[in-house]
This record gives sequence, structure tokens and C-alpha cells, in this order.
Amino acid sequence: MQNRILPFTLLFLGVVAAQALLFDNIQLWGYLNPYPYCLFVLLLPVNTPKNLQLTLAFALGIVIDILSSTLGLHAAATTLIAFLRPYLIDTLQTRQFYGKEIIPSMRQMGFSWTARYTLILIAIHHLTLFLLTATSLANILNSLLRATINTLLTSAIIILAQLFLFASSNKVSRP
Amino acid sequence: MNNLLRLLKRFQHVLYFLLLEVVALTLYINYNYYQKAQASLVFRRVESYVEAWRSRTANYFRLEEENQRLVRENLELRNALENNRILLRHNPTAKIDSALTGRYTVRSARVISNTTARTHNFFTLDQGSKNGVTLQMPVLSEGNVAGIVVAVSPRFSIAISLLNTDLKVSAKLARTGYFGSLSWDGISHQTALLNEIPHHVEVRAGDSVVTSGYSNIFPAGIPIGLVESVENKGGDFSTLRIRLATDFKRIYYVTILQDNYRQELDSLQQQYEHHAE
Repeated sequence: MQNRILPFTLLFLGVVAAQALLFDNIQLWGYLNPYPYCLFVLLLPVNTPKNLQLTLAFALGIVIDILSSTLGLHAAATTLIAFLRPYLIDTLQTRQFYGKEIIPSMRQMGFSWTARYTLILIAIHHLTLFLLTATSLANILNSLLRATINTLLTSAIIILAQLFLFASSNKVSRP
Repeated sequence: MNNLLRLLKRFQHVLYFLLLEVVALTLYINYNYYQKAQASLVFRRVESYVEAWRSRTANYFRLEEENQRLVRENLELRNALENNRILLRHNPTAKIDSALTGRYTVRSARVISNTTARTHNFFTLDQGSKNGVTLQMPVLSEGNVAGIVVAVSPRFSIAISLLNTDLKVSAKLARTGYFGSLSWDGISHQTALLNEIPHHVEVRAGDSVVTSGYSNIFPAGIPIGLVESVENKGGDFSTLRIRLATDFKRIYYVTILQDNYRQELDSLQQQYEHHAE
């Protein structure tokens, strides 16, 4: 576990930086704003203590909130998916997680599994996000549309990003 | 009892999750745009430097467009000036009312960061308290309403954009004078809604909507947009869809107005309210 702290700290910072500097500026056609910082929550090792997962997700959400003046919004959505993630992994798993130390990344689990995993969690995250911002408007349909489009976009970005991340740590020894 | 404790222990992470969610949602619901802007300003100082540099670089590529816009504006101003001179020449006894001059000081600023896709949008300007910018100063783009300053740091300031569901501007139909409340509904960056216009008022598409002057923030008569359509929402009032004059997707240079009489107005109103209690 110890040798995971540094790469994950870097991932946390990297994801926040990428979101703030790059992805927050992508606002094409008024509907697209991807939030691939969720990658961090998705890639936490499966055996991370649940409280730690929740804390990290909350912290990540708050940091993103601060950078986009939406105090509490991303924190709420990110904490929610961090909470649901273990249950989803249990439901989705097609093979045994030996020792549960595995990072559920694409290299580890294959494209099909990762696609389902990513889409479901991102869908929940974005639905929460966009519906919360819509509570003051009568425009639920607009928000649902945005949530759907951005779910696809963010998931695509996350899956693409996984081609470049954690190249070495993916080779976890399996008995 | 033991069983209960054990049950709680098993589900402690659920309780922790609920706690975090409640905290997050409470933060979200309770922070109004003013506090959010204030909070973000503290953390934005470093980011502002990066963004200032980035936007300077990007602006270099827009110089031609900006140049043309300035030439146009220059021409309009010269025309207006010439018209004034003609008026004075024909009416030499007319004195310019000193009560009206010197009220507003105009500053120009560059937009170094802008959002239009969220429901609560803000933009950052490169003028701050060191340049004399203070809270609640109105921000105009090409003479049209763009926003209000809500947070100030020494070198930068943040303005709440008209494209922000938290902002309501007192606006009136220029032709008939009926006023209402203009706010953004989050659908398009090009339109907003003008509410509280009485049903019986005759409204045509293309009618100008300007600031009413009933707030202490905006002077009267500043253009906001044109009426696009009427959306009746029942009751005695109708809602009008307004096409905004400011193109928020291409807002790079703005003017910030300083009302030199604002302090006097504020303290007078405060005094009056004190006595009324």
C-alpha cells in the first residue's frame, strides 16, 4: 500500500490541474463540459478502506468546487460515486479480485468491463451534478440532455486517459 | 445492544457518507453567488496570473478584430461629439447641467477568464482594487450590460455575468417605459427572460430593453437587448424572451463604471431607513 501513496498523490494533483487548466475551458456548443477528474475516484485500488475512499472523493470534489466557484456541488456528486463504487464493483466483477489490491483500470480489467464501469459511475456523477444545478430552473430536460452528452464525453476521455496511466503498476502479480 | 453496536460499526461508512453528502449539499445550497465569488477569489490569485498570461497570448490573435471594433466605436463617438457641437452652436445659452457630468468615471478592463456554459457564470477582469475597482460596480461590454463586480483583489476582480441565474437586473421596455425584472434561465447564452411585464402592455419583437435605473448599480438607459418573443405564463404578468445585446462568447474588453455619487446615495438611503424604523 505504501508505494501507492506517491503515484496517487500525483494523480490527484494531475487530475485537478488537468481539469482546471484544460477541461474547464472546453465548452463547445454550450453543452459540452467534461469532468474527467472523476478518473481519480474510479482508479482507487479496490481494497482501499471505504472511509478513505469517501474522504478522498470529498476532498477532490471540494478542490474542484473551489476552482469553479460551485462550493459543494462536485463534492456531493463525487462522494456519491465513491460510496456506490464498491457495490458496483461487486456487482460487475467477472473474475475474482485476488487480494483486492487491484486498480480497476482498463489494462487490468479489459475494455468491456471498464466501459460498463466507467459509464455507470460517470452517468450517476453527471446526473447528480447537472440535476443539482437545475433545481432552481424549470429546465430538467435541458439538464438531462447535458448530463447524457457529457457522460459520453467524460467516459471517452477517461477511457482514453487510461491508455497512458499506471503502465507499470498494472502488472500486479497474480497468484 | 451489542448487536446494535455491531450493526452500526458495519454501516459506519454509510453514516460517514451521509454526513459528507449533507455537508456538501448544505455548502452548495447555502452559499450565494457573492460568497462563492469571494471564496474563489482567495484561491484564484495564482490561477489569475496564469490566466492573465494565457489570455494576453490569445488576445494577440484577436488584434485585427479588436482594431476594427475600435475604429467603428471611434467613428460613432466622433459623430456623437460632432452632433453635440452642432447643438451647442445653435443654442449657445444651453448650459451643460453639472449635476449630470462627472457622475460616472469610466475604466476599461480586459476579460481574462470567462464561462458561459454553467448555470452560474462569472468572468474575471484584469483591474482590481489597485486600479480603484470596488464591489458592485457595473460592467458593460460595448455599452451593453454585461455584469456586476462581486469580488475584488488588488490586481483582479470577478464579475457575476448576466448569464448567471442568481443575477436579476431591473429592466424596462425603452419604448413604453414599463419595467420588470430580467434574469437568465440557463437555456441559451444568447437569451434571458424579462418578467413582471403587465399583460396589457403592447410589446413588439425588436423592442429595446434597457436598464430601468431603479437599482443603485446601473444607470438608466443602458441597453440590455431586444425583445424576441412573448412567453405567457398566466396570471396578470407576461414574460418576454430577450435576445441579449452582449455576445458573451466573445467578450474580451469591458468598461467598468464608477458611480461617484454612489456613496452619498447609499448613506442617504440608509439614514432614511433608520428613521423609518
